[in-house]
Amino acid sequence: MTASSLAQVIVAGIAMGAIYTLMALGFTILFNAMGVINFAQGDILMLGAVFGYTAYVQWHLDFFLTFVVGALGAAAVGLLMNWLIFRPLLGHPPLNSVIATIGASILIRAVGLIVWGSQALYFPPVMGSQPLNIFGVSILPYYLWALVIALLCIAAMQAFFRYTRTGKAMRATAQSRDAAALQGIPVQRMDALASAISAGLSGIGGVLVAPIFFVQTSMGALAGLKGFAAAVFGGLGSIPGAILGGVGLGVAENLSATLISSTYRDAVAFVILLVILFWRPSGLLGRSK
Amino acid sequence: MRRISGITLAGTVALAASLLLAGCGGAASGSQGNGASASSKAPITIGVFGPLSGSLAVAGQHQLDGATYAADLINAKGGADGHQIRIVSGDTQGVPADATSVVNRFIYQDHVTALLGSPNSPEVLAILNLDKKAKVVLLDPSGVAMAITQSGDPYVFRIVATDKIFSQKLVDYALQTLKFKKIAVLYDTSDYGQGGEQLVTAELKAAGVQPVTVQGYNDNTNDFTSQLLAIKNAGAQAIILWGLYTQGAEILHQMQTLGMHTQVLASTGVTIGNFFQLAGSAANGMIGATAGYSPLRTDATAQNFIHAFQAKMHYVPDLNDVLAYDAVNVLAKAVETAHSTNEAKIRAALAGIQNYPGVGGPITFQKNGDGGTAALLFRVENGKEQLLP
Repeated sequence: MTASSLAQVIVAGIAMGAIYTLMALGFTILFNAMGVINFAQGDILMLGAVFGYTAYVQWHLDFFLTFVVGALGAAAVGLLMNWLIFRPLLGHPPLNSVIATIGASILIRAVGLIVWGSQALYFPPVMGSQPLNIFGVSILPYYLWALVIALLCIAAMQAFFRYTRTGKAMRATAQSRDAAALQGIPVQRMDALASAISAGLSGIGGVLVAPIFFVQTSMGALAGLKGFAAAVFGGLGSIPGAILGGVGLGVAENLSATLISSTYRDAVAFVILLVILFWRPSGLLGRSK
Repeated sequence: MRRISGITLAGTVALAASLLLAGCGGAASGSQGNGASASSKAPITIGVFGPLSGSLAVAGQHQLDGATYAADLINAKGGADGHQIRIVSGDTQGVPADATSVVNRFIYQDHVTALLGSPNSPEVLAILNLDKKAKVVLLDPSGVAMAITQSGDPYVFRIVATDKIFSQKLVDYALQTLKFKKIAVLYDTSDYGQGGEQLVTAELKAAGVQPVTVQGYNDNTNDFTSQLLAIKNAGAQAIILWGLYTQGAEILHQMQTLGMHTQVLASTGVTIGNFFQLAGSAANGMIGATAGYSPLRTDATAQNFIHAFQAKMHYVPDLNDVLAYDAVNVLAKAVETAHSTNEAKIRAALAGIQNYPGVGGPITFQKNGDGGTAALLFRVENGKEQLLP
C-alpha cells in the first residue's frame, strides 16, 4: 500500500465520515432534547436525497435551492414526527417511541417507494466529473465542496448551542426540563426546534450524498445504522463526540477495508465499535454514569 | 346484535366466491384451436407460469408471448407429431408461494403435459418438489439460479446458459483475445456474486492464472475506494466484475473518479435494469456478457426471427420471448422424437437432445438438465452495446 493510496482511502473516509457526523448530530440533538432515539433518521436522509433529486433533476433548480428544498422538506417531516410521535409519547417508556420511530421508518420508506420507485436514480455530477489531483490523491471537486458544507453545518451547530439564546435554552432544556420550564423556557417549542434541526441535518446529509452515490429509497437503512453507531461511538448526547464518532467511523471502516478485508468492511467497523464500548461503555467522549 | 339479513349473507357468499375464483387467476389463452379441427390426436397442454403483475411483470409477459407465438406457429404447421399445443397461463405475481398454487392447478386440474417458467428463479425453486412428485417435464427458459439444476429433479430442462458458461466466456476473452495476464476479481458477497467469483477463479486456475487480487463487497456498500485501490495497486490489467447493476454502475463511476482505466469485464447481472442510464459515459469501453440472443444480432437466424415475431406481436422480441419460444420448440421436437405424449418418454427424448438449433443458440441437454450453451459478449461504445465477434 503506497502512501498516496493510503491518503486516498483516508480522504474518502473523511468525506463519508462527515455525512455520518451529520446523522450522529441529528441523533444526539434529539436524544438530548427528548431522550428519543429516532430510528427513522436514515430514512429522513433518504427523503433529503429524493427531495433534492426532485428539485435538481425534475424542477431544474440550482444546487443552492436544492439544498434549501432538501433541508426544509426534511425539517418539515421532523416537525410532523414531533407532533405525531415524540410529543404524545413523552413520559412514556422509551421502548414505545423506539417502536413508533421504527414504524415511521417503514412508512417513510414505503411512501418513498411509491413516489420515487425502487430503481436507483441518477443524480448528475454537480461540479463536473473531472477529478482533481492533489499530491497523488484523486478527488472530485464536489467532494471537497461537500466536505466544506458538512463542516460548516457542524460549526454552525456548535456556535448555535454555545452562543445563541435559543441554543442555550435548548441545552438548558436538555439538562432539566422542569428547571428550564420554571425559568420560562418554552419547553415544547424547544422540542419542536430540536426535531426540526435533527431532521434538517439528515436532510442536508441526503442532498450532499445524492451526487456522490445514486439516490434510492433503500439508502436510508445503512446510513441510519452507521449514523447511530457514530453517535454511540463518540458518546450519545455529546456533540464533539458525534463529530469524533462520525469521522472516526468513516476513516476506520475505510482503513479496515483496505488493510484487513474489503469483504468484511462493515463487520470490522462494528467490531471496532464493540471494542470501544467494552473499553468505555459510555462512548469516547460520553459522560460516564 | 343485529341479525344479518339473508340478502346480505347471500351477497357476501357470492362476493367471496367470485373473489376466490378471481384469486385462482390465469386463463387458457391464445393458441387453442387455431386450425386444430384437422387433427384427431389429443392436444398437448403447456402450463406457463410467471409474474404477469408486479415489478417483474414485463419478464413474465414476454415469456408468455414467446411461448404462445411458438405454439401458434407449430399448430399452424399441423402441431407436434399431430398434437395441437394448448397454452394455459397463470400469474404468480413474482411470489414463490403463488407459483406453487398456480402449478398445483396446472398439474391436477389442467393435467398439463409440461410446465414452463419462470424468469424469477425463486418460483422455479419453490415448485421443484411438486414437479418431481408429479413427474411432469419442467422447462425452465430463463431462471438462472444454479440450484435449479442441482436439485436432482430429472424432469428439469433449462434453456438459458448459466453463469458457468458466462464465466468461461469472460475469462477466455480476457486471457485469449485481450492477452491479459493480471486479472483481478471483484464480486458482491451475495449468493449470485459469490457463485460467480468461485466459477471465475476456477476458470482462471484451469488456465494456469492466479488472480492478482480477489475483492468482495457487501450488497449495501456504495463506496468502493478501498477495493478499487487494492486492485490498482495489484497492477491488474482487467477486472472481472460479478454483481448487480446499481453497484456495478457505481463502481464504474468511482473508477472514473480515481482515474482508473482498467478494462472491466462484467457478468450479466451488471448490465441489466437501468444500468446504462445510471452508468452513463462511465460504461464506455467495458465488456459485458449476455445470453445467446440479443436484438443486436445481425445474423440471418436472429433477423428472420425478429422480423416474423415483430410482424405478429408488434414489438422487438427480448431474451424472455426467445427463450420461451425455444423451450416450446424443444418440447415439440421431443414429442416428435418420442412419438408419444407419455411423460417418461418425452423426458427421455428431451434428455437426448443435442445441438438443437434454437434462436438463442444451440441447445444440448446435460445430465443435470442444463441445455444452454451460447453466450454473447459486447463492448459498450458511446453508451450503446456493440456485439463482439
